[in-house]
Amino acid sequence: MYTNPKPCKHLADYKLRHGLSGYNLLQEQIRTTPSGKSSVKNHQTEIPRCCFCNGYQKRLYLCLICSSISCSSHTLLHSQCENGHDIAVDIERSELYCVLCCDQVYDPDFDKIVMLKHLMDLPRSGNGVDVSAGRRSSKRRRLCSALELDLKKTKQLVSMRDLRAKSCYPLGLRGLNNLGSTCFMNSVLQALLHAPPFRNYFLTGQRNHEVCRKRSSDRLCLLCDIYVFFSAVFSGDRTPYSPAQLLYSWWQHSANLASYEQQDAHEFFISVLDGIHENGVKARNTGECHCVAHRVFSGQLRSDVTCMSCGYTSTTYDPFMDISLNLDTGNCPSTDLANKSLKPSDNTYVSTLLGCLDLFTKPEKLGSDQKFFCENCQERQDSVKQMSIKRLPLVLCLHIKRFEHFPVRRMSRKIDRYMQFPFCLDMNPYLSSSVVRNRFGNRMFAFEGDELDTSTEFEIFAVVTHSGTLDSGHYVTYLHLKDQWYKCDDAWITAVEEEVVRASQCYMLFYAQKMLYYKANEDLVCQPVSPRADPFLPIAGCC
Amino acid sequence: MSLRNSVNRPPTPDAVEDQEKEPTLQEIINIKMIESGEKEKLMELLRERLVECGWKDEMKALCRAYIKKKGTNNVTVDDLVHVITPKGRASIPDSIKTELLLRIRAFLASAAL
Repeated sequence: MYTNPKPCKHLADYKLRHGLSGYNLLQEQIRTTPSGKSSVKNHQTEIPRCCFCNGYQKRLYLCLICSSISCSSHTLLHSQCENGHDIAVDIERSELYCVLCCDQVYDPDFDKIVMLKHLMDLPRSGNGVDVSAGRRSSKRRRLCSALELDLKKTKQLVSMRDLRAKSCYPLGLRGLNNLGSTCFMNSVLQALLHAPPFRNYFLTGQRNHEVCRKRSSDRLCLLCDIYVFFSAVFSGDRTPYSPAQLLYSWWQHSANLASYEQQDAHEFFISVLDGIHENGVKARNTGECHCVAHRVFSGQLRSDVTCMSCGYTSTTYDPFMDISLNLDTGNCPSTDLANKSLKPSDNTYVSTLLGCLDLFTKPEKLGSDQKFFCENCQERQDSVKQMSIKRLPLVLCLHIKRFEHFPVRRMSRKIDRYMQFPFCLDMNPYLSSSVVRNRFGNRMFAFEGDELDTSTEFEIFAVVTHSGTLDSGHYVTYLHLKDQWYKCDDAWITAVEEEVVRASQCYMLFYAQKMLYYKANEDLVCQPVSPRADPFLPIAGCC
Repeated sequence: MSLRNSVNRPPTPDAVEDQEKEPTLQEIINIKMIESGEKEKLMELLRERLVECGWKDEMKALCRAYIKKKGTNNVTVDDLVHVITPKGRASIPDSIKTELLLRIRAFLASAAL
């Protein structure tokens, strides 16, 4: 959360008396390195020294009023000698310091001036920083369409209750029969059944399958089959369902994956979304697709490649339907066996989702074989690449790369390493605005029109887990509905404690924007418990 | 103030002690390194190595722990610098020290000092 901290009274006094004049005078002397560090450098290559002790090795501060330099031990002395000389600049970092508070202070006006100088110094505007205000209109439109998917005729859900529902389990919990190593499909379908806007789209009749042109001409339509599937699962009938029609329909779409062999759940997920996209509303030339798959799952990634010689940054944007993450193992890239490791032992390092996300957004030095052609230098240079999230989707699917393939050795293996994941996730630190901001030190400058009106808080609603080996494994999904976790193992659904979920080996994590998740949970109507129902018995076969 | 007194007044001591002694070897090396731009390069290298080996992350964690203990409003940058500096200096990996030392020696040889 980047709210500007209030200035201390000394900074406020300074601003009243001097306004921006001190900052503007300083601007000329600021230099920024290619890596983003801004320092105050005089024209002479003289070493800055403290005017009291002549020292040059401590942090040095330049007085904004009289430009005299003091080291950290003598800033107070300077302020005592000269009345009102309370605000200084850390020479090495170009950051404001209040002598009387003995602390760093922040002023967006100051940071703006520092960044403007940085921009002016670069030959072109390719520094990865867009000073203009963000395009708010498109953001508001996205939010409205999200609510649309959600609020439209939600009362329809209530009318679909079937009297055969016996227990107080939420709607939409139904076992799925395994049709021959199809747990990869069942696990993903369970997650899709409860992705809030996705679920609402198919249940509130926005998909009108009566007038589907494909079906009327006896051709297969994946969207229609999904609609039928949703209706069946939410009908209230608790007997396990066989999604044979859907499986067949999907085979038609992904012919190369059509077999009774175990497939990868993530591949299935991507291929289903792709099928929905192909079958859905054709995108207009505006570039943003309005099919339900894109509206729910698509976001945008930003990739910055920075030349290490001159600092020129090339930025590209790419859409994504999910994010694949490498497991963070806590190993340092610089392998030095003689070097004493900072962590006690690699074996005790626990991988976490936040660690994986940190790894994903970490600046990565590109190898010497991947030299990037810098527009500014007009030659190939060593560069640094950094990923960040420009726009978050309504439902975020995070895929953990557990299957390692070695094309050279022609073998694959599974990584069984445990990864800890949170139930509530704040994606703010991984947004482009946060990541780009951090490149330039401690700045209070708004980058890329900070996404202040979009929420970055997500709640988990489904976890697809994998157990076993690459060749013979099993997928199970855990669903989080109305504060209760349910284990969906093909046809068997059981209520479980959250510790079970936390200890599981996650493969795909599904998070929904907080507001959508809570709204969706309100819609799931329960019937009162019948005296015979035992909440710990599996639902399958209890009728 | 009468004129008689001022004649006999001892010489006014300097307000600020003039430390223009003979510059030490350390200072000479430092000046040469800054002038040639080598110091900036070494600083960049040091930063890179300290990030790579996780030292920076560990310092960040120490800072966070300290702030959590004292309370966000009771900590200044100066406090943090005082508390973290000794720990930071002590935990720099030997390999990094060695690498930088070798670079400095190479520089000295090339600058014929």
